[in-house]
Amino acid sequence: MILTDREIQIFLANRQIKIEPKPDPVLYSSTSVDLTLSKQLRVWSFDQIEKTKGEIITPGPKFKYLKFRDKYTKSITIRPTKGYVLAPEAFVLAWTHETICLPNHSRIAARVEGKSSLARLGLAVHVTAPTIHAGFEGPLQLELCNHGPVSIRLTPGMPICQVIFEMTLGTPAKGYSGIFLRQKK
Amino acid sequence: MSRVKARIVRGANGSERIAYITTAEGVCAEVLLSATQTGTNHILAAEVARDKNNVLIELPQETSSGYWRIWVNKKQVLHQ
Repeated sequence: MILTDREIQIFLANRQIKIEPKPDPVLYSSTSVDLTLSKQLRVWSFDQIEKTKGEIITPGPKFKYLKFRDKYTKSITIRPTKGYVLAPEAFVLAWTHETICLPNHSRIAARVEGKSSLARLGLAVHVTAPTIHAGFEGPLQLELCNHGPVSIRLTPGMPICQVIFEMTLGTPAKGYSGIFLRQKK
Repeated sequence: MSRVKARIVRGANGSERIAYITTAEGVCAEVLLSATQTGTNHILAAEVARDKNNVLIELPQETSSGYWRIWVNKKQVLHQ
């Protein structure tokens, strides 16, 4: 079952869902709540990519994502006045300004999805990985890709994605404990 | 459903309308709607909350700037 705006607010009041800072009333819709863009972004280090041209990554048991991330990307801070211009076909990693927490006992999981106003411009916010498991805690990482033909200026604080909360049928034996638990921007 | 004052113009096809609604902060919110969700000078929207001067409404579609809900001055709400 998907939570409506009223249920989301009740769950927030009871601390069964935690969102910090609390979303403004205008960020709700009937069955979701919008989160906003953080000023932190991870962009590709094209110098490094050029240097290691031809290298092939092999996802699997020996693959270390954080090592890969630190080698090929760098963290930047978006200046609020200038924003960050996402060129056509560009792909960056972004974060929500808000952190969310879904305690195991709350029986809540969620999905992060795009917004139609941005989708119409060609902006995707995830690459086939929308699930937020029960037990997750942290800001949400977004995989932003501009599939449109025109550059899009991203500004911190803009509504960037929506989160849909769903009740699970029972309490999970083990909540989320993957590498992205309490992930940092 | 409430009727909320808006400037309505024709959209890209016969069944589409573009509505311009002035928010409580004085910003013009743009939203693409079906003709069935609009009148000549209003849109249909759901009232969610109210304070002394303003009403929080939920629009039938998301605005161009990405909001489903906007605060409007209560004088803009024509009818309940």
